[in-house]
Amino acid sequence: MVKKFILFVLIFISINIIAITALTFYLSHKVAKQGFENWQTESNLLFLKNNQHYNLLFMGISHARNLSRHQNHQRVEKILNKSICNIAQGWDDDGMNVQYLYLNYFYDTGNKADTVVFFASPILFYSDYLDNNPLAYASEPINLKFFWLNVIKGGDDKWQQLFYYVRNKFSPYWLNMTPNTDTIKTDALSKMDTAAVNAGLKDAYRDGMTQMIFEKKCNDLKKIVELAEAHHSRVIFILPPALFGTWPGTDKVIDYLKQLQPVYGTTYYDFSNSVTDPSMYYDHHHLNTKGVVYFTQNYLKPVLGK
Amino acid sequence: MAASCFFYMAFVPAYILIILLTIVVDYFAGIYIEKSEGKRRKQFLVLSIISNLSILGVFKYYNFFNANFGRILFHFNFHDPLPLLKMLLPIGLSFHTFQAMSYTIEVYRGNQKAEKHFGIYWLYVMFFPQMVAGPIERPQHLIHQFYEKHYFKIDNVVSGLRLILWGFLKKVVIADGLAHIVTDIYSYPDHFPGSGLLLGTLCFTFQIYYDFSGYSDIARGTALVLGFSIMQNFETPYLSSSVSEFWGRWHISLSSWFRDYVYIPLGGSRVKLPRQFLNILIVFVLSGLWHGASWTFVIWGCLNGLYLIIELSTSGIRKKLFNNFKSIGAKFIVKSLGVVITFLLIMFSWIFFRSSNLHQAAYIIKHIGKGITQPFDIYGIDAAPGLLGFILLSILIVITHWVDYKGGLTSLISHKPIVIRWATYSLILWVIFILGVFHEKVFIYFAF
Repeated sequence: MVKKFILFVLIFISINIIAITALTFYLSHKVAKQGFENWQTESNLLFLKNNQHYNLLFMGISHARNLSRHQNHQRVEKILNKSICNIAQGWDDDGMNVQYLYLNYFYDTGNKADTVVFFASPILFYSDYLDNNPLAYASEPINLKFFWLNVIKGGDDKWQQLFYYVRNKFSPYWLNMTPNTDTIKTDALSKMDTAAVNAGLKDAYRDGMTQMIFEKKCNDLKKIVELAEAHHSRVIFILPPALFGTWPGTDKVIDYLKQLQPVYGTTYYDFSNSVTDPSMYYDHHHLNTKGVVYFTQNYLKPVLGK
Repeated sequence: MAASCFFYMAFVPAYILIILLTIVVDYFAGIYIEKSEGKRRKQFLVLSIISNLSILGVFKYYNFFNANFGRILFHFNFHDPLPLLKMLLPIGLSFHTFQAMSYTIEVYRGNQKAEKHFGIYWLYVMFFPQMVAGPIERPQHLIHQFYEKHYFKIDNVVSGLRLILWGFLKKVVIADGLAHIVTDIYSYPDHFPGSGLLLGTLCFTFQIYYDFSGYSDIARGTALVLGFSIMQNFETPYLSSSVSEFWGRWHISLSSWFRDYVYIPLGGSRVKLPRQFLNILIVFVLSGLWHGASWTFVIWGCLNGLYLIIELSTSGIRKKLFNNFKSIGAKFIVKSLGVVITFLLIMFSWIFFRSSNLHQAAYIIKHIGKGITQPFDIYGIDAAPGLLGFILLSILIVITHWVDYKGGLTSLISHKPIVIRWATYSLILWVIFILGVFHEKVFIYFAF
């Protein structure tokens, strides 16, 4: 009787797991088959192909991803005269460890990059919540290689992230996903709103500025540098511009980047205060298309366009 | 017993010493009550009750009374005469304290033999499926089950698993699905027009029911899998046609505890009407305080007591009016009207229960009627479900009420063919998987 019961339970569980897996793959494929380019999506797995060679690989958070959004990608490629792959992640979806996983996936699928350009937004060094966002992979299609990478190298909340990675394939957000057709970002600020900046910083630094998190993130960054080095990619760090200039904790970040320099041969450029015209931002730390073009021509080209 | 201790110690391990203290006191109190005669029996009972209430008083009510006492003394130029206690409330304190008290009272009344086996008594207080949020069991119903031999019974396991599944559906999908809306609206009530406040209160009305009844189902299901039967705590209370009926169907184990150990000893309904009214008020004020050491809970209790007093004093007139309706259809309409009115009254009282203070409750009551038709941006609420989400939640609320009204999932499908049963379980599992909120908090009633 007990054996029969256990057998029935196992059959029931198996049927449901098979059905859920099949449906998840079907829904994932249904969206992915539309075909996405780097500038048309916030996802990485939707556009990444195998065995490609790029001159530059952009990494970081929204400040880097923004260089591809709204078809900025083609503009930046044209100005720099380089092929670019942008695997940075915005929307609070991405921390240092998540970037490390994406870089692993990038190399594991046979891709190569001459230079890894890591946009080292200081907030990345002080935030655990970015790495622990349960919806970190909400925009990604189901991919067994990426799933397994998360199982073996994922962060503290990897099981929750993997659960939502699968579950989200049933959400209207995923099912309604289509290639983004925005061609330009023209929204612009007229002046700096100090109250909004303070509120934004308070939200961004919600984990505080603890030494423990800072060290953890530095360690993750070191893993990124070592992985890039192992795949013969040069690493350049760039501190992106913000209308309010320097982010809290920037000095400590720069000190750490300086420490990496002699060990790994990395370089860094602090462009925190490079763009001061409000009309080049659509919020206090994201450049609009005019800002992206200006920043690329005047600051990125001299260091990346060589 | 080991599982129960492990479960309890997962919260704050040291707090097991507190519960152990009450277990030791009540265990010996029970034995001495049974052995003694005359006044001595009562003395042991009083000792047991005082020790239980003292622990409850220190952990749960000290800061509340201290703050209020301090406010009074402030007028006489005494500032903070007593320090505030900064410690976490032991989880489920009110539940297991009341369960422990029911034991000594029942022994005193002669309805229960004093338990000689210390381990069995320990387990009675700490039985893990129900120790942190009830149902508050009675010794006559639970203790004898610990002496019975429990074998693996497939019927029990299947019924228990069904209850657990049902409980998770209620908690993870419905209660937690509504939680974001309630939290946002009640955190910033001044950001919302009357329509938003109404929506927040309506959502909380369902959230608290599904949160608590979901927990109760999981607790009953877990116990049943192990072969134990614990009492039902809810019987579709929002389908009650009067407030008194509601309180017979909501948190039944607590309502019956107050009825048996407070209301009836005070004279119950065998006294003159004004005294009966007073008894009702006492019971509901105590019930409010049981839920939390705050004036909002006291007012919530008073309000419900007041509802019952009004209901009692108009029962004759209402009965006459009801009897005037001869046709079944008319009676059904009147009864349905009663359900709607009761629901609205209870919903109104939840405003006090949910508000963080009286000031907020007053604000919500003052503004809930203003701009009631005014639309507001639901998407301004963090993680609020979209229109489809609301429709799905509403459908689930109707379905779960219907199933519970019909006696629960087991009575509805246990005799159906295996295909229908498995399809039903799969459907529930899929709904939980797709719509469940898994990063949501603990159960609301764990705080009590």
